[in-house]
Amino acid sequence: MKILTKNWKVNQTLRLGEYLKTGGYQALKKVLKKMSPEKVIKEIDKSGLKGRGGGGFFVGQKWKIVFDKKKQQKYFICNLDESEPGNFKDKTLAERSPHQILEGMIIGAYAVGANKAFIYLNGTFKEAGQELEKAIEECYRENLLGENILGSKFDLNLEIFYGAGAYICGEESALINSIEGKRGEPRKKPPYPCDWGLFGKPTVVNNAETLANISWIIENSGNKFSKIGKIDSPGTKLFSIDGAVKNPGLYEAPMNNTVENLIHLAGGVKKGLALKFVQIGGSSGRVIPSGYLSETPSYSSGSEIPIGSGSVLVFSELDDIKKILLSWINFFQRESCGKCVPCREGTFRLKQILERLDNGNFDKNDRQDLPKLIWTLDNTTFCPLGKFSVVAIKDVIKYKMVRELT
Amino acid sequence: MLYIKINDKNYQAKKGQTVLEVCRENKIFIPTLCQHDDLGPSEGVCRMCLVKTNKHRGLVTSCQTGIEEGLEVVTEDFDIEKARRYNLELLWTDHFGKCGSCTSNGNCELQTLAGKLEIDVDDFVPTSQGFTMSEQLKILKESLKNRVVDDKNPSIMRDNQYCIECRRCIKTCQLIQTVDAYGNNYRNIKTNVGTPSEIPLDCIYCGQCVTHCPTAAIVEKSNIKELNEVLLNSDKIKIFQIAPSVRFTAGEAFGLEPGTLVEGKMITALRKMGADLVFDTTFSADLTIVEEANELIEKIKKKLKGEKVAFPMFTSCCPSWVLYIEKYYPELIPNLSSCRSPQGMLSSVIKTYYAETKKIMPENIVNISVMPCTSKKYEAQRPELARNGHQDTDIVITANEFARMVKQKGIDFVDLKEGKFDKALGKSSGAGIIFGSTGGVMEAALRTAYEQITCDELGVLDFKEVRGAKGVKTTEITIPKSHCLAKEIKIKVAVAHEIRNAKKIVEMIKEGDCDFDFVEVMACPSGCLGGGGQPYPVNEKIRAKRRKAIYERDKGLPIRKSHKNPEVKELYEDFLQEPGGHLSEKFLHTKYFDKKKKID
Repeated sequence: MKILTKNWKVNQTLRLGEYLKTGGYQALKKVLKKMSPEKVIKEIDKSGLKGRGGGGFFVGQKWKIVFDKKKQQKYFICNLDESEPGNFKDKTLAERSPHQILEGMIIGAYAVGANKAFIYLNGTFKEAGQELEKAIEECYRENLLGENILGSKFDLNLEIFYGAGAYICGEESALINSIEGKRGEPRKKPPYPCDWGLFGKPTVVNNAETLANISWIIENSGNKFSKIGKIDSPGTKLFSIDGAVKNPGLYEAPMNNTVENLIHLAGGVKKGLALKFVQIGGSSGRVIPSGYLSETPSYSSGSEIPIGSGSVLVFSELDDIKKILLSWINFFQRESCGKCVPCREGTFRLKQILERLDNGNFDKNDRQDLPKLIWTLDNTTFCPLGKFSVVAIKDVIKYKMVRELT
Repeated sequence: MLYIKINDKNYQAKKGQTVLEVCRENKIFIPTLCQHDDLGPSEGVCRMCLVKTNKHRGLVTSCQTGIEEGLEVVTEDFDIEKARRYNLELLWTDHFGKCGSCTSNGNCELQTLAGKLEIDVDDFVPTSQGFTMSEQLKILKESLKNRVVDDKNPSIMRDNQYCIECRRCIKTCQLIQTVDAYGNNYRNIKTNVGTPSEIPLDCIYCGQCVTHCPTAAIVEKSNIKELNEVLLNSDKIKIFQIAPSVRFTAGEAFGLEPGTLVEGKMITALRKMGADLVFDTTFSADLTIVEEANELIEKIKKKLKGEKVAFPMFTSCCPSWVLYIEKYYPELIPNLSSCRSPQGMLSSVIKTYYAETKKIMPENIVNISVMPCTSKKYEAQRPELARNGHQDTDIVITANEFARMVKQKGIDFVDLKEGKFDKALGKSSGAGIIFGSTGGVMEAALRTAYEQITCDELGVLDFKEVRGAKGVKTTEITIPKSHCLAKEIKIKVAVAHEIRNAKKIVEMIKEGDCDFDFVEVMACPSGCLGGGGQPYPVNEKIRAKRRKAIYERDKGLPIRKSHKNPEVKELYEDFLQEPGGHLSEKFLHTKYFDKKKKID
């Protein structure tokens, strides 16, 4: 079952002409001609579509909140900051099928009543940026953007905002700060962007992959979508599968696949190697040892393994877990915005300890401090980045994967 | 009224309050570092104030959590204790080991809190034999590689080694002064608070960042060393002056209630430290009023004659305000009164009139002023305020530095006998005293201007409309016709403190709808009594106490009008001749210069 990638061509971008041939922008036409914003939101609500950025919030609900804020400037933002290590789904999506994202954005903006939209693009995605620029130009030319889109009364201006590639700017409130020209730091929530977003106005921030689902839902009905995958995590998902697998790459699969199935999608574990553990959802994701592969990652609230942004990193016995832990904490320390004490100082001290773990100097003091730091990062940081930074190490301790930490 | 529970006890609270505010009101201890009452909603940076409630998952910052009906708060439990302790340990580890030589030793919020929670200093540092002491220190201080020390201005000194990134200075500068001198540089462990691209501090030197800094990351640029040198090694005549407001604040540094009058003790302390003479800046505040009121009257006369004069006239006793105009609105320089500040006037009078009468060479005088203000250090160095290559004011110390010096010399301040100012330049009126508060200069000027214009005695001396903590206060004074004034005139005045409020008036002028005649501006909250050189911690409650004490003192003084100060009168008779005369012009007035940054 494929929704997002069914029309993709190998190493080729779907330009407007081809996108239209495969039924592109039919959903937008339908929306503008026949559907009221309420009806669009109802359809999306019925589909049960959840945000693909990692949080898994109901898209319909988010749109409804912003729709209900009447008579004011509203903004619609597509989050294409994707900087979780091991993830390349949004980037690939923008490179292969930029119009899919744009169509979702235009429909979304129509539904919530926004006439200004931004794509917050990770500035390091050069190719994706070029493809999106071209696609936006095509849209303006064909009246899919601009004033009175396709003869309707709906106007939408859309532009790309190039971020500098900071991880924290993928967090919606930091992303908004960044567009406003401020330091990329998370804001206190509540108020959420739906109430107090860009320039203090109600704002929708949706992940690019989320938006790529919209046109299919409009055309095929929310009901149909809700039957794919798992009951409370409907639809398919893009999985960035990488590491010790035969064919690393981007795969689309319904959200009812076990970890084992996902590894099979990529051709299974590389020949001659034995799987040691898998990490789901990037560096902030859970680490699962080889004995637990029958779990199904999803957005369901009760799910043992949150699917996060959908990356599957497969590690073999060639990989040194200590080095991997160190590289993750290096990542989180580097990307900490420096706003709150526990994240700024804590990730740094944790990094020092993991360095000592790696070079054999881990001592009894470190053994005492490590649980303190993990608890502090897990419970006291301003935004979830602190929590994210210790997910992996918590699993490593839980599954006794490193001798010194047992 | 809302009812909430804190630690299983019922409390009443007002809608819109935060959990922290309610706890503070009810004396329930919650530690904080980044929160400050002056700075509006907190940013939740320090994580010290975490609590638990029945409406939130996990720990939440009490400074950012609003109260609601039925809220139940827990402020003490195992998790909360851990959260406070571990985060403080993290901060302390990054900060460790400098208390002994630190200027904020004993007056540091981080130190106090660490003491309260009994924080160990060696956390997060390996102890195994594999590490030498220097390696341990290296690990400990690895985060300090971006150390920035900025002492390139005369007023404020920054050393980000002491900084805990609470951001209070950033908010102070942004919110209260709208100068925006500080911001965050870099990210992760390298995050530090600094100036854009770490250029030397370029601001108005008000020092509010000093009084709002919880540690010693931002302190006044100390002149204690220089002063000690003079006191111990110089045979010059050391003449001190004490600003009107510091006599109501300096006691706080010795544990006295805010607003306690310590004038006499200060004089005695200064004499003990080696002062030859102690004069009163309040005397020259009176002098300033006589000159400034005269300037205002002359300007009004010109206006009535139809001449073009820049209105409103701005007061010029606040050096930060003067610098703000020079740097940001140089086109308004003609609006500034040309009067020097009281410090500038007294120093000038000492080195001219006093030196002449006492037959002392001005070069043999060292003028030292005890000021509420960091900006006065800058003012003292202005090239216009010098004669024959010598600055009129040689050394400026703040109230804080004064207190530190007293402590360093082991003087028991509280037990000191009450001293008296020296004659000739030591008498003052109540009008001079209220210079220390926002609205004070205005009120003093009005008392004098009224009598000078009408030649009649003013009945009620209190101009209550210009008192108090309101950001912008305005009123209209009717000066009735008299045998000196043919037709009654109305004078519209405004009083603003904090640059954010002064800016409102500046914007009105820019818009062309400002009809004020006279505007008093003080850069600091509540004027000099909330100055950047005053003892801290400080908040509105403390400032209110200081303000009250100042006005009470004014009320109790026999002379309450500047022009009735006998020593001021004497000075005019013996030396200056008349207000605004050519000698006044030479010794009591000054010039301002366009200092706006030019972008090529």
